[in-house]
Amino acid sequence: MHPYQQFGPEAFWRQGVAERNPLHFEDVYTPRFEISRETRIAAAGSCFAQHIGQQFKRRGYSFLDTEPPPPLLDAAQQHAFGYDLYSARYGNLYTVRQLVQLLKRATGEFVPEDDVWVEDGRLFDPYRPTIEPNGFATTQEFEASRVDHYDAVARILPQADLFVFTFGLTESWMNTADGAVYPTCPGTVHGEFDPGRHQFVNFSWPQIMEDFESFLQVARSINPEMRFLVTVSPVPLTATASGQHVLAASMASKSILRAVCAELYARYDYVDYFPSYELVASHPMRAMFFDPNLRTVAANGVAHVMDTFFRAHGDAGPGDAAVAPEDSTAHPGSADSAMDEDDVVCEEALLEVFGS
Amino acid sequence: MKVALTGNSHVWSLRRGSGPPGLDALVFGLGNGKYERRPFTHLSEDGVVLDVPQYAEALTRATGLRAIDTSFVWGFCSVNHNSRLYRDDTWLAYEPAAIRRGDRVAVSEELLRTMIESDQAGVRALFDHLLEAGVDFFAISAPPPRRDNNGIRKGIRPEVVRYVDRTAREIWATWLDERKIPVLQPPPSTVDDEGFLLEGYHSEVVRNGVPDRHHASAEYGTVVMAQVADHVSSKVDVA
Repeated sequence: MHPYQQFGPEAFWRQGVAERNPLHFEDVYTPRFEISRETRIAAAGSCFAQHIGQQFKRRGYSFLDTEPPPPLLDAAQQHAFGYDLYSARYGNLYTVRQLVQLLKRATGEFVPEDDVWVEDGRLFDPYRPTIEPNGFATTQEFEASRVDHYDAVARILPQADLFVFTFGLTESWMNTADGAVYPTCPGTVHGEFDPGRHQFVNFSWPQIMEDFESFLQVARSINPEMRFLVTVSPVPLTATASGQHVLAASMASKSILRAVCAELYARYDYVDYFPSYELVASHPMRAMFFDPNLRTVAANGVAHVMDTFFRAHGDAGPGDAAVAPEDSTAHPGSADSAMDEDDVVCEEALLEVFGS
Repeated sequence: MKVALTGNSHVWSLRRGSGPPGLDALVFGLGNGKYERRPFTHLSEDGVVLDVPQYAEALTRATGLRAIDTSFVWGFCSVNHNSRLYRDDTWLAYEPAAIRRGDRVAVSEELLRTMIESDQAGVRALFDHLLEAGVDFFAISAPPPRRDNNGIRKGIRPEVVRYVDRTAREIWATWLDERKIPVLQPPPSTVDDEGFLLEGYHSEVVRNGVPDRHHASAEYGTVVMAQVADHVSSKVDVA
């Protein structure tokens, strides 16, 4: 008798993967703790995280939104203004360093030197540059929006039972003066690139671990019972500034992020990992869930990932959905009927235009 | 020249008001302005068809037409129906950034503009269709907000009501001007210094025990009908 004799088929590649329909890897995820509709859930992360937040909302979970859209704003326009994407209006947080700095900015612990970008008289927030599609008109409204935003961010952690974070990138751009990290390279979406002030950074495994552990510390100091669900976005880099081929850079980036998740899972029993990356990007999936650009995830891929997640939590999907979207005709609550790729707000994807 | 004046419930004051001698106008309401927020028309060989049954039935009942066509000069009392905006509960928790108080969430100029343009979408589509169909028409503004409107009564600051209304009027005016669509604005004599409808022009109708705090009176309609007569006669003069 040796240890392998007591393991189930999921522990063996042939039975667990090679001989299985890749659409039926249900046991790829066993929840570490229960997530119920009463669990107050906050979320942040890269573009792919938007799908997760949307699904929690559509299925009637208690998704925290401390910065909701004005009721007069049509649903179709909410995403363009950064509403209804995450638990506040912070846009995509591609790196953990962004998350850590966001919380510090919200409490006044960190005041970046690079405060505002001005273009043709319009003002843009360097740390959420697309939150107002055409920028703010005046300093007064820019400041007012920022104050409101930081108030909203500061209200998230005290209210959340579960924080969901989707790791997106290791590559980022940093201000050399104070280490402020941007969601996009200055000059690509807005702002102006200054080689003397803006420095490329490719966060390493220890740096990301340290950042996330500092976040855990802050969050648990506010709410000692808080739990965390981490995932890795299956969306590869749109472009790399690492000097490597983008394929190798993507693989390195995702591997590091995946390794961070593994370590977090191993170290903390209040951290769970959901393998969205594996369910889309691993080779047994044969790239079937990617769009023809082999980067963005098709709607059926999102559906597959999210249905796997909710099924593992005892939420059978369509029939179990507490809240059905008004415009859904077939499968209310199913990820099939959720936002498609066009609905995802993703500044990083804008880098593609520079590749011609 | 046959003139037809129609639109949302604000047509009521025009209908009850007295037109000056010589103005031969058919005045009728299409129905509730709540349908104006989304496109409610399409073009056909006959003209501009109203897709909202309530509107379509009202048109046919009043004119015998199934589509808005060139058999009338049309006046549409369908612009500046800003009560949908300024009395919305949004303003109990949010305020325009330029005038917001600390306990309200700031709404940027761009965000406010987006909300306003969305509200105007249905009537803009109507007017674009009318232009495309070659219909001769002009716009008639809804009256300005009343100080006793239900938005203010439920706690929205008068300053916010004024700001939202004024911004929406400016946006409408620019849009109409770009298309050279004539618009009859509320007569200055009916508006106070802060942009509210003077109390003397308030509708005093009470329905089912509930006073109307939204519409203007027949007296207001009479003043606007004089504007309509001037506008129509100027068209005749030009012709």
